Amino acid sequence: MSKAQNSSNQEQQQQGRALAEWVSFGIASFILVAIAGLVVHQWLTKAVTSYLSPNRKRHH
Amino acid sequence: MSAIKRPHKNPWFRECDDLMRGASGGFLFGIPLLYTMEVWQVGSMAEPPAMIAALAVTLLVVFLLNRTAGFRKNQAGSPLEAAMDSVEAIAIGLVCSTLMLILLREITLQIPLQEALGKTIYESVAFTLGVAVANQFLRGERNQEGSSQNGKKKQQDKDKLNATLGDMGATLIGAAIIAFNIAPTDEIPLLSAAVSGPWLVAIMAASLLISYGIVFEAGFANQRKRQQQQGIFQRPLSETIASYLVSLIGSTIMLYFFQQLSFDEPWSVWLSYTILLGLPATIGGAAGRLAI
Repeated sequence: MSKAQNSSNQEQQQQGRALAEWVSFGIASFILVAIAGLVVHQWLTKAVTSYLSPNRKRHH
Repeated sequence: MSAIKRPHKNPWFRECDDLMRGASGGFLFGIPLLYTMEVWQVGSMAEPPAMIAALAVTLLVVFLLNRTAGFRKNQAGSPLEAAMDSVEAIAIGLVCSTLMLILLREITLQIPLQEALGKTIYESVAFTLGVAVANQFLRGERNQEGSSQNGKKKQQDKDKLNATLGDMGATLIGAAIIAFNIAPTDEIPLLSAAVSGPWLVAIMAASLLISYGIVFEAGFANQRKRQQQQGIFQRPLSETIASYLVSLIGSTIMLYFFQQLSFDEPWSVWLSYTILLGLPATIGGAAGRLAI
């Protein structure tokens, strides 16, 4: 195999590797954002619930 | 040996190899903490701000580790690449810890979401650190053709029986290093109470899969040498099964030694305890075969 063919293969591998890495990074980001989002959702729900419950008592 | 694995030319397979290496590093590092009930308790009582803080601190630490180690064959060159790898390492840690917690019935549909999130995030810290250092202490050696050829000639001269005994010994040593710390604790009876028949089968399948992944797929140090070993069981499938059986026997002995099992107990308890301790023991055994 010639040097030109070798280098073109390497370039293809580099490009492919970058794409594969980007795809797995995308999936990983989705997982991390989903988990962090769920935690923040729990946090906010808890905060809102604890904020509203004393007010309700006052009204009653 | 026909089973020698060469580096993949296909970039997608290479990426899978990198992810597999990371996951295997995570299992090696994270499995002892998975069998620690204090971590389950801390996780289940954790408040959301503490969970976010745990994720943020882990991300920072893993970023620093990725600048020097990482889980990829090609180390991250720029801070941006290290940051991307850090996100992937955390995701691998989260996925692995979630799967293992589901398998051990510590996460079920009955427990509240916050408890499940806490357990997952706190357990994932150790897994993620394992992913981040996978390439450092278990570096791959797939390009070392010359040294592996010499190793092959030397290995061929060895007696097959001695090689097999060596494999079994290495498996037992590795299994003991990991499982000896877990065998006397209350976690095994606790987990056994929650795990029923189908889950035990799933744990057996996971043990075999993880062991195979660590030894034959992850590209850790000595993998090529491992595949050239001349033992009687030296086929990936037969070695994985034989080593699993050795790990199970070792687990039974350890449980009996620490009086977790007695002859008054029914056989189902023996089976359940042994399979549960067999998971960390098998992972330790796989590491032992690579290390020795």
